[in-house]
Amino acid sequence: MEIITSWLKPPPQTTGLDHLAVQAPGIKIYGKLLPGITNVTDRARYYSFYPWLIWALEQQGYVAYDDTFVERFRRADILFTLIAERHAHIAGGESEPHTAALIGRNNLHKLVLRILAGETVKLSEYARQHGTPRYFKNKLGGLGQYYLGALSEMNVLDGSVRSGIQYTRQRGLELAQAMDRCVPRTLFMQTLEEDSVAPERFDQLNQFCSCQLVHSPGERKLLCDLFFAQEPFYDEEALPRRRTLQLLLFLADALAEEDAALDITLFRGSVYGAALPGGKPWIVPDRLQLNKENWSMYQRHELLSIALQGIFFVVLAATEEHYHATGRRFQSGADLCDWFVAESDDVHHLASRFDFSQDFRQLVTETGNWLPACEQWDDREHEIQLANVIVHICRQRPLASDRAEILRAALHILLALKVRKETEREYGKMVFPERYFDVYPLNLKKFLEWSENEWPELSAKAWLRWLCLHWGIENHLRVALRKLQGQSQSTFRLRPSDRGLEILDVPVAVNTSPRFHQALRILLDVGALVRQDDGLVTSDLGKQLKEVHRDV
Amino acid sequence: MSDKSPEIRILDEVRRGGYTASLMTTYNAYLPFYEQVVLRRLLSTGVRQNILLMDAGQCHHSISRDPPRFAGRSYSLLPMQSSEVFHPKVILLAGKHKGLLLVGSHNMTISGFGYNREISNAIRLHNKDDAQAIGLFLSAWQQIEGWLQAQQQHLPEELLQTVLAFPKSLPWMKSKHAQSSSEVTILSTQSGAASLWEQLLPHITAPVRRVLILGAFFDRQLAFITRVQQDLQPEESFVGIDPATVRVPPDVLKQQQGIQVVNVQRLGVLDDRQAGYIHAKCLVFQCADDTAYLVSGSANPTAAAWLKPGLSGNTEMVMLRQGAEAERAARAVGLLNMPEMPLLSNNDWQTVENAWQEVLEQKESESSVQMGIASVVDEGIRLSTGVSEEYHQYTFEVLDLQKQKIASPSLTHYDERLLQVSAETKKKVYFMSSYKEAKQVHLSKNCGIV
Repeated sequence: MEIITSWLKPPPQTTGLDHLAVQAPGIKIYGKLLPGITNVTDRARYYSFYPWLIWALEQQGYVAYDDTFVERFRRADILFTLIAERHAHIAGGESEPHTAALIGRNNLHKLVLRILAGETVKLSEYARQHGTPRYFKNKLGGLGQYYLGALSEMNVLDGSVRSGIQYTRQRGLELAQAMDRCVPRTLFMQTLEEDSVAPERFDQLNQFCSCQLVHSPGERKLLCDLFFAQEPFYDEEALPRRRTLQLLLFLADALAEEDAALDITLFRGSVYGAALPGGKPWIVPDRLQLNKENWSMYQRHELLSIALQGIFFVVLAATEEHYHATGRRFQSGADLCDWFVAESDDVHHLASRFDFSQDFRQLVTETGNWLPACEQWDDREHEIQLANVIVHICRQRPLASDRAEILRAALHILLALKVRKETEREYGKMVFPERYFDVYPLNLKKFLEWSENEWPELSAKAWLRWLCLHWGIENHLRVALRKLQGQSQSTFRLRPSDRGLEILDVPVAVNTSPRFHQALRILLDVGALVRQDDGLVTSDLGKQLKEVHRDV
Repeated sequence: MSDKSPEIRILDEVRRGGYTASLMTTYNAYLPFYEQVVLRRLLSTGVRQNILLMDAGQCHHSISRDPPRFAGRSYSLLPMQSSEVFHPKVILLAGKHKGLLLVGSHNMTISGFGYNREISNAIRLHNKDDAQAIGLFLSAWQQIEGWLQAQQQHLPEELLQTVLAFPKSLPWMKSKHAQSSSEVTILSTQSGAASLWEQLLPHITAPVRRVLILGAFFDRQLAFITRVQQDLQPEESFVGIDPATVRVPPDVLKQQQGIQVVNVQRLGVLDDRQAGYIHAKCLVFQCADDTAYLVSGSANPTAAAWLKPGLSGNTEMVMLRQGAEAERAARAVGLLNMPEMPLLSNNDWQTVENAWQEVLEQKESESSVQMGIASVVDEGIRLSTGVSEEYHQYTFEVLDLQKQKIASPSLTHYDERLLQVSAETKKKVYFMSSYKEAKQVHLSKNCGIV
C-alpha cells in the first residue's frame, strides 16, 4: 500500500502577462498588420543569414541533421555575433547598427572582452548545448528561438528544431545565394572548422556584420522584396506588412518636415489622431488609408487597455496600502469595491478632480466641453496624453493623490472613447476567430454595448465601482483561473484566501509592443531609412519603396 | 529512505487521469475554482460522476457570492447540514483499476490547494490486489455514506440514492477484496458513535511520553488540550502555533500546566515565497517504547471537533498512522522538530492577544440560514428543505442563468413542498432563492446528478 503524508505543494506561481486579458485583442491586431516581423526578430540580416548558413553548411557536406551539424551551426551563430562586436569596436561611432539585438550577445560578453583584448578565442567554448558557459539554450540558437517562426511564415525556411530545417527553393535558396555573392564563405567555413579565432580573422570576415547589408546589393534587394512583398516574393497575405512599413516611411518624412523624429509615441498619436504633432493632418496615399485606420483601431483598443489596467492598478495598490495600515482584508470583490469607492483616499482625492455628482449619461454629454479634437493629440487632456500619464505614474510607486490622477485619466479616456465617432467602427473589417470576444470580454464591442445599455443610468461612483469590480477584480480572477486550468500556473495578482482577498502583486499599466522598434530597425538595416540631424528620413531606396503599390 | 516526504500537488493528481468518479468534501469552497479548474480537469480526463459535499452554511455564502454555473448539470453539489459545521476535507478519485484517497486539511479553495500550509494523507490504489488500500477506501466511503444517511431530512431522496450508488461502478470497492491495516485507520464523527477522541484513545496502547499539537483554531476553554493532558498524562507537551494567524485565547493557553507553546512560523515552508497561512491540524503522540502516532486531517484541536459524541459537534475526518512509518512521516513534515522550535516571545504573545481580541469583537455570526435543493418535477418545483412549516412567511423567486427573476411562485402544496410554475419557467429555471424576514434561503435547482 502506498501512503504519503505531506505538505501540499501549490501550483507554481509566475508573474504572467496581460492580467485582465485586455491586451490580447491589440496583440492580435498588430500581428495581422505586421506579419513576418515579430517582437524578437529585430535584424534584417538574420532573414538572409540563416538560409545562407544552412545552404553553406550543406555545401560543406553537412547534409545530415545530427550533432555535428548542430555544433557547427551553433559555432556559426556565435561567430556572426562576434564579427559584429569586433566590427563595432574597430569602426567606432555608434555600436547599434552593428550589434543591436545580436543573438547571445549578453552571454558572449566575456568572450568579446577577450577578443577586444587581442586574445584568440575558441567558438566551441560557448557552443555547447548543455552546461556553462554557453551562448544560447535553444538547440539552434537564435534561429530556433526567434527567427524560425517568422522565416517559416515567409516561406524562407521550413522544418523544425526537432526534425531539422531546410531552406526553401523559391525563397531561401535565392536569399542564400544572393548573400553568398558578397561574403567570404570559404573563410567563414574554414573558421568554423578551425574553431580557434584570432582577432584579425574577425576583421577579415567583417562583410558578415549587419551594417554591411547595404553593401550587398543583391541580398539587400531580395530582402526588400521579401519585406515589401513584391516580386519575386509577392505574397498577398503579406501586403499589410508592406503597407505598414510604407506607413512608417511616410510618417518618418512627414515628421522630419515638422522637425520631429519618428518614435513609438509619435506613431501612436499620429495614427490615432490622423494628424501630426500640432494637429496638422497627416495625409497618406489612398492605398495606405485602410492600413492607417487599422493602426488607429489598434491604438483605440490600446487606450481602452491602458485605462482598464490603470484602474486595476489603483484598486490593488489602494487595497494593499489599506491592508498594511489596518490588517483588514476584504472577503469579496464586491466588499472591496464598496470600500474603495466609498472610503479610499484615492477616490477621496479624485472627488476634487472629477464630477461625481453626475451620472454616466451626463458625464458623456459633458465630455464634449473638455475633450480636445481628435487630431489635437498632443493636448494634455487628449486621451493619447492621458494614457501616457497613466503609464508614467504607474511606474513611480504613486501615493493615493497621484493614483487619483490615474483614475481621472482612465475615466476620461473611457469617456473620450465613448464620445469619439471612430469608436463606433469597433474593429472594422478585421477578422477575429469565432467567439474570440467571449474569451476576451474587455474590448471595444463590449465597451460600446455596456455604455449604450447598462451604464447610462449609473451614477459616476456606481460606474467606477462597476469598472473596478466587473472589469477589474472579477475579470482578473476569471483570467487567472483560466490560466491555472490551462497552463497549471498561478498568475493571480489577487487571490481569494481563507482570510479574504490577498494582494500578491500590483501590476502596472503597460502598452503592448506593436513591433514598431523591430520594423524601424529593419528599415534602417536595409537602408530605407537613414539618420539625419537626430531624426529619420527616407533614403532614395526608401523613397522607391514608399511607392511600391502594384499588388502583383 | 529519505526523510523528505514526496510532494502532493492536488491539481497534478487530478490531471493524471484513469479515474471515472470523484467525490470531494469540504467546509467551504470557492466555486469558480472548483468549476473552472478542478471540475474541468476532471471532465477532461474522463471523470463523469462528480460530487461535492459542502457545509450548508458555507454553501449559502459561496452561492451568494459566486453562483455555481454547472451544479446539477456537470456535478452534484450537496449542502450538508451539521449540528456545528460539516468540516471534513476528503478527495476520493476512483477508476476501474486505480484510486486516490486524500484525507487532509484542505478545503476546496485556491488556498486550500497548497497556498495555505496544508497537510494531507494520500493513499494510492494501483491494483485491485492491494487489499489494505481497498480497505481504507472502503472505510472512507462507509463513513461518508454514514454522513449522507444522516441527511435524509434535508436532501431529495433521488439525489441521495444516486450519490449513495457511488461505489457501484467500481468493481474493486467491495468488502471481499478489503483488508484492514494495523498501521492506518480512518476515523470520523458519526451518528451514534463515540466522540472522535474516544474513538482514537483505544488505539494508543503504550504510555505517551510526548504530545505535539498543531492547529490554527482552538476552543475558548482549551477543553480538548485539557482532555488530552488528563487522558494521556504525557511527560511533555508542545503546542505549535503561528502567532500571526492562530485563533487561541492566550491567557487560557498560558495557564495550561505542562504545555510549552512554540512558534511554528517556519514549519512547512517549502520555499520563501510559500509561507502561507498555516491551516494544517495534527496530533503526534510519541511513546516511551519509541512507537509514534500521527493524526492529521480536518479536526482542529477543539472540543467541537474532538469531544462531542455522535454528530452533536462538527463533522470531521482524520487519518491515524502508527508505527515506524508514522514516526518517519511526522519527521518528514517537520512536526518532530517542534520541541526545538522557539517558545513564543512576548511580542508573539501580544500578536496572539491582538488576534484573539478581534475574534471577541466579531459579532456572533448571524443565525444559520437554510440551504436546500429544488428539483424540477412534473408537478412543478419540489423543495428538499424544511421551509414548509412557515411557508406563508416566504417569498420565492425563480431565477434564470443570468440571475434574472423569471417567476415568483407561492407554496401551494404544503405537505409536498411543491411550488407550481409554468412549463416555460421550468425550462428556464436555473436557481431559486426565497426570503423570510430578510433572511435568504437558497435552493439550488437540480444540484444533483444529471
